Amino acid sequence: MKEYIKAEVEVLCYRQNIFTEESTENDVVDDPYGESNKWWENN
Amino acid sequence: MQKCVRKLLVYVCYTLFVIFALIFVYTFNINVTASENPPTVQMINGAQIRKTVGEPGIKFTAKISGYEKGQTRYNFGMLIIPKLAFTNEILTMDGNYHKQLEGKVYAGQECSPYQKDCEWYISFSLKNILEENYDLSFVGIAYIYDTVNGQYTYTDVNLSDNARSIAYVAQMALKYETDLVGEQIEALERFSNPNGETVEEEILMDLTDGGYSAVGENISVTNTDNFAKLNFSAYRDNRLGYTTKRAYSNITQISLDVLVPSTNEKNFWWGIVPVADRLSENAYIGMGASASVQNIGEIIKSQNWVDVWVTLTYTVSGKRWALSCSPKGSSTVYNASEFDFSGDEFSLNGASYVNISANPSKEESWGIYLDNFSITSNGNTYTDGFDGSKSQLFIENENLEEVASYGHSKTDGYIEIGASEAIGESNGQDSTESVDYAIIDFNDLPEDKQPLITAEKYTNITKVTVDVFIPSTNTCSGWWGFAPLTSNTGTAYAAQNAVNGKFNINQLLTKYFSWQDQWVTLTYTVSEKNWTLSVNKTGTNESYLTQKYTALSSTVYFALSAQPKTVGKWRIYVDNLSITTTEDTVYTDSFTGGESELFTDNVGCLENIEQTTDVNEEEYFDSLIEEGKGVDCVLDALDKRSVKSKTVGDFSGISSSMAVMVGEFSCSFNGYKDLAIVLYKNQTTADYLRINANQIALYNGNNKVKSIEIGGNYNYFKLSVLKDGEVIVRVNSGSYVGLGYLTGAPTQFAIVDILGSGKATVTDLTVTQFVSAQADTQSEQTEIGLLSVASETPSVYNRKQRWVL
Repeated sequence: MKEYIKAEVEVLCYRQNIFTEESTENDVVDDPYGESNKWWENN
Repeated sequence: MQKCVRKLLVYVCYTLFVIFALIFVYTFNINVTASENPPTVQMINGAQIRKTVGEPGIKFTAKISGYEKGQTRYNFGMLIIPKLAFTNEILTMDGNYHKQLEGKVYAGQECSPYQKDCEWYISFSLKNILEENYDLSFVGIAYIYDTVNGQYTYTDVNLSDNARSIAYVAQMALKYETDLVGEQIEALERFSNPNGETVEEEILMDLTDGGYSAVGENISVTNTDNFAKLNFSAYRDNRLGYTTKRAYSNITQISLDVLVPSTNEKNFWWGIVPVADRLSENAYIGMGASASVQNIGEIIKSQNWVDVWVTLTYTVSGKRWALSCSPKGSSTVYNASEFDFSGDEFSLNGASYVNISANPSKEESWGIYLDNFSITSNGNTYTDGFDGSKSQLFIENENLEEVASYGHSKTDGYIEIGASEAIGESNGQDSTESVDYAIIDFNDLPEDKQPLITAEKYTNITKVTVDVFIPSTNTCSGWWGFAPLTSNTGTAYAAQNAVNGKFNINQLLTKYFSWQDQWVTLTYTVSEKNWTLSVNKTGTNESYLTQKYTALSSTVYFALSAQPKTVGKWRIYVDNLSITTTEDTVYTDSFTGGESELFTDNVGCLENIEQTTDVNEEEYFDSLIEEGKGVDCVLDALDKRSVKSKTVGDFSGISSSMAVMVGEFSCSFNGYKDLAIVLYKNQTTADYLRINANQIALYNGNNKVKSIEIGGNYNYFKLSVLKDGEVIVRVNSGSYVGLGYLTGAPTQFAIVDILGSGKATVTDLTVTQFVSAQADTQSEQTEIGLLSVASETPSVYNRKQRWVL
């Protein structure tokens, strides 16, 4: 069980609707986008 | 009879037809439902991040519609892809993402639906987010896989609703989440952009998207359209000009609005330049290149765009910068020749600071007005409208003598040329004095001994703070800095050698910030053996991080080292040393009582511990009246140090609701400056009214009670304080506002500087003490000797008349 913050950005004129919740992590992977895997960067 | 049989047959046939028709239609509809209404998924806007200390994680969630528990035909999953893959056009948004991602390592997998509040969802998280990816925006893309026909169906990719970085969410949480506790705040601050900048794009894109739903509490938005002034006359040869706080990698675009006023005495070279290092460059970098880098001053002049707002747009491809210029509201475009920043002068490798270079001629008055600066880097756009009191992107570089001032207002997109104030006036800063600080004299320092080192070692230090002050009266200088050391027998250079100059405070404060003649707080934050230094002007939130240094041991001395100099005058002042360890034990040294509590003075450099001589209060305040033209209010940080104070009086003889003090105050602001009227109670309570061009706020200690927005128009107000501590303010609109309560009636007041690089000029200060008064009728007043008599009518104390916010 991890504690998360949820950030909803609606529109500039409206306050960020951010709240906390206890939520499970159903499906999780480690960040794969390390230095050796930046295929998404501009060449 | 035959008729009856025929009728019966017709009826039976009709009935059978209807029954079969209904069965057919019903069967047909079921088939339609089964074949044309598969489940769908829709991404939930935004993302969640972990706020627990430990591995950072970001989670995207999608809602499933039409899901039937137990069905086996459809599988659900999600991809989490860097947003840059789309903005760099490595991937297209036309779906078919699995095929596009073939051969690439990415985050994506099938996810298990779960039920919450009668709805079905899937969530997919990245954890162990690499620190380098804290400000990298990820896009969540949910999909359905049909096992019958082997086809993927993806949610639409929306780069505003469904792309988030962990830094951005953390920043928003820190800004708006109200229930965070200490460890959570620390975790979020760690994830946030170190410079505290908000990635604006993720908000702004919603405005053009139009597909948003207005959810949440409506808050007021101030439609300001302000700009900054840059004073190039204050540039200096050996110092970098107006420069961003942080470096940006993979810059693709820079845009800004500029106006060159016709009041400029000269038209010299200036331009926008990338620089690799803020510390080692000069004001005119770019000008000395093989060809002058895109001389904006010349372009503006040649196009006859003086006194006109012009939008400059740099399109950046690697080190090649193309520039187009266009007056605002005009279709005219001037395209400058592309410039290649590959030259030696720029030495760009990796991230670059963005610098506004200019000819550092200080003989003539010249400068520009600047607005709407934006930098697109790694797919994020960082913006600065200069609308508030300070820049979001640029460092406030006071070594350039107030190069930049913020918050000047526009009218209809243009400004009033020839404003009464000159660009970049000197702020007339006074030197600051402290009570009971140590004077560290580095002259004739022996090379074989460290100047100062703690008498004992400390284990598992978590934080060290210390205030330092470099006087501009020094006639020589060299390296000096603090550092953790494992030995107390090193040379004068011991700390310098240990940290390889990373914590060279002299360079940082004199060359980089030019924070001389003021107290600066150094904060060393320690995690295990990693020491990170941040510096800020004492009592302010202006804070800058420097490089990290890893100590050799977790049990260390804390030492001050310095470069010996035998010629000239070289000294610093040190105060309020505090060392905190993991056991929350705090060791402090305020250098009171004539000696240091923690330091060993190896070489007698701790020359003396001196107490400030108070400023002549009478003379100070009298000058307000005698000169009749005001004084520059640039004083101390908000503490008890050297406040320009005056005792108000003894109010023991009057009732709680009576006024004990009435004052009039007016002040003009140039640039951003917060100052305060501090109200002491027997010199132990520092409640204060904090005042800038926009607001008057009452603070009880560190807690703001209430504030009045004054919008820059009401820089004159009347102040009343009742015996029970209630503070009433009347701005010059005539409104009475009860701001709240002090913790008690004041016995002394002072004017102090809180923060800001601008200038506040006090033009009038009148305080009248009422030693005997009634609620609505002033019966007697005693003028405080050095101040003029207030003319306010007694009705100011009528509680019925004021507005309570």
